[in-house]
Amino acid sequence: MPDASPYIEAAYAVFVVLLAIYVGIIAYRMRNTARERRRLEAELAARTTQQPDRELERV
Amino acid sequence: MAIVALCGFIAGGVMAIQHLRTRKAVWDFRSYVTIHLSLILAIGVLITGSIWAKGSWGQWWVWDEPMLVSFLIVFLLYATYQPLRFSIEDPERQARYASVFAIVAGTFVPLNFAAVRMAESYTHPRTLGTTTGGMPGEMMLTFLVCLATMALLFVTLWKVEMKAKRDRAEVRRLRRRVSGDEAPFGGGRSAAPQVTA
Repeated sequence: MPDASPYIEAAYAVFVVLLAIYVGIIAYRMRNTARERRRLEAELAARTTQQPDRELERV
Repeated sequence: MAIVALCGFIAGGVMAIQHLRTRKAVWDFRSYVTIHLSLILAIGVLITGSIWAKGSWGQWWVWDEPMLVSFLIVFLLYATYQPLRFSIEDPERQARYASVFAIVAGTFVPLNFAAVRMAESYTHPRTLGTTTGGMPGEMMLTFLVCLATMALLFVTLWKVEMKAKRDRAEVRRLRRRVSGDEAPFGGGRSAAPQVTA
């Protein structure tokens, strides 16, 4: 029977690395999404405040 | 990990049944995320399982072991799920076809599981079986704790993935509003379901 312990340790290490990569990808994408969401919401809010101003100018 | 991945595939099928029954897009969305996550777990199973096999049996892969080959078949079957979704542009048709696939493939998983247990080759130990002696008490307890931990990890990642996908859908909607496009769906072809809420 071969000594399996280095392989078992390697399997655990690979599992942890895979999990870390997956969590890292999700975290990176969520951060980018949150940033873009804030930017878009600010842009929309700026548009809605600009619109009544323009209407007032026209009056 | 393999058991949680297989249960995830079955759960994806059950959610797909709910989608076809209720016609609510959220069930397709849940089914998609569950299958997506199970596929990632399955990749982990194939990689770490091979390393474990090398340590235990001295071989990376044993082709005449039904448990290994059947898992690979299930993995390859579900590997076609994303390309299937991507090949259909209309979101409603995409959701419907993907649900039918998820149900048929989800039915295949327990049948496959049972067929492996009826097969004769026993290189891989039958984790939940008693025909080859089963596990001693202490080992069984460790196994159950690991199984529960893996299930909890799956549920946590599922929730995070659902939130990430919902947020991305919201950003797509905001992007369309900014560009003046008020259509509920759009923004090009995608394998991911287009949820509005």
